[in-house]
Amino acid sequence: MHQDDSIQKRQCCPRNRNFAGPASSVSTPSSSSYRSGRTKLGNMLRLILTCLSVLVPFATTVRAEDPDFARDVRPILSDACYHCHGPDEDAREAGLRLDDRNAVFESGILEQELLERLTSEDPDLRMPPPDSNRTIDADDRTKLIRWLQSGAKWPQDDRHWAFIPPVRPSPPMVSGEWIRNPIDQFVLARLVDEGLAPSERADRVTLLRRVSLDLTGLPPSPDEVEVFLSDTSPDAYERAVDRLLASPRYGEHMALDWLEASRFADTDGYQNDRYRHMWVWRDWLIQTLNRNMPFDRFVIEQMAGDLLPDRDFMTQVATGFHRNHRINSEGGSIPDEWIVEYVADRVETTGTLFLGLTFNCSRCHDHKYDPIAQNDFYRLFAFFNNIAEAGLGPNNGNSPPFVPVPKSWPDLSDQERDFVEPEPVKIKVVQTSVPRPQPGGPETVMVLHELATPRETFRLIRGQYDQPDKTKLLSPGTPPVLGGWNAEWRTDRLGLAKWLVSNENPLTARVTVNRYWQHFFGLGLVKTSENFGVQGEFPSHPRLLDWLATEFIRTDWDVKAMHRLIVTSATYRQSSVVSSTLADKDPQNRLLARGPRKRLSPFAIRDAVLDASGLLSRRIGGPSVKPYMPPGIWSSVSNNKYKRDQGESLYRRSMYTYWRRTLPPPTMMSFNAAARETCTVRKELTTTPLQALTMMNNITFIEAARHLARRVLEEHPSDLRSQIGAAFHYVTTREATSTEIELLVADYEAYLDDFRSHPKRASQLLQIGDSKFKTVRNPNQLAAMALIANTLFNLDEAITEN
Amino acid sequence: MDPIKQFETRMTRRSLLGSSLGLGSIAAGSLLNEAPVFADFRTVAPKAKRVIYLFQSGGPSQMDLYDYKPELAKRYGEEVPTSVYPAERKTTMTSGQASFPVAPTRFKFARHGQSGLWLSETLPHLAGVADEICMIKSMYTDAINHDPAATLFQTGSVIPGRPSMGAWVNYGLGSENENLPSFVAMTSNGSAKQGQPLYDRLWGAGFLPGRYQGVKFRGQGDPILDLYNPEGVSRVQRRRMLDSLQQLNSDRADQFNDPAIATRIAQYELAYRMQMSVPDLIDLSDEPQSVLDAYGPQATKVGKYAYNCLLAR
Repeated sequence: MHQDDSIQKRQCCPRNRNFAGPASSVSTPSSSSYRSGRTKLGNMLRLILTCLSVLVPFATTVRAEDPDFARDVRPILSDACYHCHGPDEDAREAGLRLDDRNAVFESGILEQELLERLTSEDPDLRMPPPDSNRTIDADDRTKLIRWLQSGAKWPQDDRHWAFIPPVRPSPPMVSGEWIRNPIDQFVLARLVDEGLAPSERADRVTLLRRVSLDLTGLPPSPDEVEVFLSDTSPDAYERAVDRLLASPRYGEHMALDWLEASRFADTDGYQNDRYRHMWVWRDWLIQTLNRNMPFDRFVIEQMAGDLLPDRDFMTQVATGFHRNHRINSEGGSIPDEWIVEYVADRVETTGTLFLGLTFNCSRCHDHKYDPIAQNDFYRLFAFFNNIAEAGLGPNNGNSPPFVPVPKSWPDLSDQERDFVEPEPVKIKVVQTSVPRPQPGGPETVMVLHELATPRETFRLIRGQYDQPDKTKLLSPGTPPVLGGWNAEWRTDRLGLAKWLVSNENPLTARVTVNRYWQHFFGLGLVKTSENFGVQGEFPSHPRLLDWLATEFIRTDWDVKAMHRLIVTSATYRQSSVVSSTLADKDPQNRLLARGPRKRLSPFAIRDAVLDASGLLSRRIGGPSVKPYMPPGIWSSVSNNKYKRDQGESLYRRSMYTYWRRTLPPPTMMSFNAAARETCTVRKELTTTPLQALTMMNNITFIEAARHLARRVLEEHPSDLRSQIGAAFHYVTTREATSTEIELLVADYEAYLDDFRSHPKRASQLLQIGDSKFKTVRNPNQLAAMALIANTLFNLDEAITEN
Repeated sequence: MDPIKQFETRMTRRSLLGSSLGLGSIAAGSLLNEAPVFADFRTVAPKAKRVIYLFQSGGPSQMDLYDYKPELAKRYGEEVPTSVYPAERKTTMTSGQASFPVAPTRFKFARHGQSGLWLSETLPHLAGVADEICMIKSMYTDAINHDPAATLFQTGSVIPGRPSMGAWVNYGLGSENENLPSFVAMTSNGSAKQGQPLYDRLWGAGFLPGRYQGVKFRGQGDPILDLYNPEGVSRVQRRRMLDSLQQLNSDRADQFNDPAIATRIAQYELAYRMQMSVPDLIDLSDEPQSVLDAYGPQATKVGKYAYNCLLAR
């Protein structure tokens, strides 16, 4: 239950229509775009624009006075009218629906009545009525009126844009040296349209830091910076990108978005929140991303690896994806009710992650906005309603079906790669007669496995497990509005998976490239990356989105190639400095006239600090670890105790941190990690005082500060300025300016004086954290430098990609 | 007004707790008389300034306290019908029982006040103010386990994932002070060490944006995680560090023109003030004895229910 549109979109996340508003037709750009450009860029642009004035016929843009139905009109109707005049038959007022072209034309409302209803001052006539809690603001009302007056053009094929399979558009005919690949043609054409120019290229170090963090989650080492800077060949950047794509850190970092979307965790998530063992699936994920499995195969294996003709142990492990949902094991729960929950979670996760649709709405009633009937939900449900699973979990351990993992994992012999038939659910009455299935220990992993006889699926009235509509048995099927079903496919999960990644599927490729875009630019081309439905945002660059989606399919869903394409575009390489024009006109950078500037993920924040300190462990994969946690964090609210690890496990990458769903790591949560309760593909970013407290005082950050201090003291034994400069570089990947150095030198000296007067404080500070220094020759210097490191870790720049 | 100055002027314990932090076992407050932030969707002037919500997880049954059930006494010893207690709804605790007999309360009930409110003899003090109380007895759930029932209480659904009541209040009323948590949750350390878990999601934001979730004041260790400077670091040093941070961050803010940097600077200043103010805020030494007495002997014991109630006030 991640996004309830009816609430979130309408009131607190109004669709951003600013940039989807009527685009002006392409005309010669005003001179303002020259003035704002810097000299070199200005010249270049002039060249481009000269070309443009000749080549311009890419103007399929709409004239300002003609609101476009799909882009301008339907979003307003959807927001303000569909709740009572939309797809949900039960909620429909006056028998009128405004989401169906035929129904609208039959009603004749467009001829006169709608205009009256929009313009009347009579509260009994004016729409929407006051008690509907819906409003149309003046701009939108004007837009609708203009649309009616301009002939109310409602296209014959009026399907919502996202339900029509993408057709590969030709990149706009713009040219110029700035352009590096077709992405830039789409972006530049739009900028010209808006009278804007791209920003200059980011400086090389900034760019290397940006792309390293985006592809591997870690900043570049000083050596990597040096190699890059000394490579003066024209494709130095491309080579750096290829190195990063080949790094094993790539798979780890790219896995994180997927872990959050897949609601991966180490516990079951309800009442006692018992332990489960799914790290083998996480290992599979990291390996698979590093090996660049094509995305279509990636989806098929996770959705239906147990049903493939060439299935084996690895494709079985992949299906753990749809076992990552929460499982209840509390006595007194009704198994049938919880099986419904698990199956519904799979439908909703599939909907959000692959289709960008909020299916959870249609679990209880026909969707209020999208043409998804309640039956459509339960026909999808039927695909997943055949798993040989138990309604109650075993109360610690994996819940069946699960398979044993060979001890040699991940280095399996050929024989160990064979498909394994999971043992069926064996319900035992344990304890005081609570019926539970057999538990799978740490040497197992949960998988999908079909029942010999599928469960029957009915529509559940109001989504209630015990209220099936027995009048109609439902067979598995995909929502008719999305089309693309091939009658040759079996109506099982494998068929569903093939449909998801078929060329005819209108959504999966778009939704996926949009999430990649969000990864690199902070915001997707469709900002509502979880919702491509009628209530979602219209794309800022619809043709770019479709081009990327079709390019993804054309390249056989080559993920690394898509990532490479995005990060080698000139659009991505722009400086993220915000001109005052852009700050006003485009604060969120939807037009892409500058590069991305974004705060690091909670995981990357901790990893970068550990990396700078030299503490970070480079080991890949394996079971989750338990680093530092505030005292009593588990025991103060539950019967479980957090037994933290020691040694190397304290310094593993944050993606391996033990994830207890009901008590997720507070440091991660304060930096806006997803809670892993349900599928999450987009998170709000906040800036809070709690984050500042963490960065200043948390044991991990303080321990890292003293290690960074010792590192630079050892590397530059005699020169204070070099020590501070080196620390600055480890944290920010750039040379400090002399002003910055002098400021920090003054601080250092003040701290040193303090510690000389209070040497006990120095030793207290140097004791923080498990890792002890064996010998400390100059504790006061070390403590003073640790405070400098502490300062550096707290810089905005330390947790930001510029 | 500069939010930091605004914060500073408000940072007395009473005014902070009362008007902006509004702390309770679960509490949401707002500052509706200040510069409007949410004014655009306020069509009716709200009268509620804050909500203090006490959630007593565990404790004696309602039938022993205020829910008079004379029928139970009449049917003492009969089996509870399956229409009330379906066969499949058995908890870990009770599923071993061979029989489920009806058992009435052992306490005497009487009517109190002009309203004739039924209360048991276990609530003599409440009986004295019976006409001041609004008792709602129509709430029920068919969840028989603690966690789903607590989740229902807080979010309206037994399945976790929906916003908590506090998050809704926060979302609907808002706080016009953007720099302070407007929704604070406190858990009390009960006498039963092995209590039922109260997870953060009980004051979570569900599908609402994360900023609406409650900020937890802890009953153990630092009241707010990482509130205190590390051992060996003095407040003077921290001030110096913050000044430098501000200087260094401002230089970058000028260069990048990104308002996010200014926000971060402000949050650091706020954090610094919280380091000073929160300990003051939870220091009850200036409370008059009469108030402490009214809250009972545990009023000054950090993390106890009485202490949390006093803070919430």
